[in-house]
Amino acid sequence: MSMTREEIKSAIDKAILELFSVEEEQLAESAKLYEDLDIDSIDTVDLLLSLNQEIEQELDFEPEDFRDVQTLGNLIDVIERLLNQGE
Amino acid sequence: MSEAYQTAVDIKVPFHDVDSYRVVWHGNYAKYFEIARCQLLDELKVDYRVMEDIGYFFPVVDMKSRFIKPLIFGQNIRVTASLKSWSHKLRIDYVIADGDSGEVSTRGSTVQVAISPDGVLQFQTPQSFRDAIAVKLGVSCD
Repeated sequence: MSMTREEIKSAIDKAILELFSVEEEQLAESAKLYEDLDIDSIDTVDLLLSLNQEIEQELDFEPEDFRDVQTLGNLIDVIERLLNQGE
Repeated sequence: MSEAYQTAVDIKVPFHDVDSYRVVWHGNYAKYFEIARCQLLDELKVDYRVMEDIGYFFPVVDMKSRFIKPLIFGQNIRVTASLKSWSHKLRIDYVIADGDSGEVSTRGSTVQVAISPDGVLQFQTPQSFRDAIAVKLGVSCD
C-alpha cells in the first residue's frame, strides 16, 4: 500500500495520541521522541505495533532501521522508506 | 484480552517473606510472579535457557501489582500466570488467590522484551521464539 508522507504522519500521530499522554500540538516533525514526547524505547515497541495496525501492514521493524531515529520526522522517514521497500 | 495459555502454582507463604506488619512484604510478590512465570515458560518450552539458546535475553521491563488483600505467614496461595501476548513483547498477567477460598488478593502483570546480547532492543520477539509458542499452542501468532 502506498502512503504519502502526510498520511504516514497522520497514522503515527493517531497511534501516539492513543497510546501516550501527548497533546496534538506537540506533534511537530522536529519533536524529539524521548526528550519532548517522553516516549522511551519500550514505548516504541507498542508504538510500532499500533502503527502496523493503523496502516494495516505487517512491516518488519529491524533495530538498525531505528538506530538514528530521534525525532518524529526521523520516524516518518524510516516508515516511508520501509513502505517504499515493500512496493 | 483473553489468555492464550494459563498455568498455576501453589505456594505456602514462608516466614521469611513476611515483614514487621506480619504480612508478605510487597517486594516478595515479584518472586511469586517469577515462580509462576518460570512454570508457564517451562510448560511452553521457551524457558530462559531456550531464550538464551535462541540468542536473546528477555528482561522484565515493566511490572504492575495491585495489592487488594494482604497475604500472611503459612497461607496457602495459588499464583496463576496467563500469557497475554508474545509477538512484540511477552506480556503475562498474574492473579494470586487464597488456596482454600479462592479469594483474590493480588493482581499483576509483567512485560518482557527481547534484547540481543549486545543490548539492542528488538521490536518483535524473535521468529523462532514465536514459532515455538505457536507450535505449542497450535496457533499462528497472537
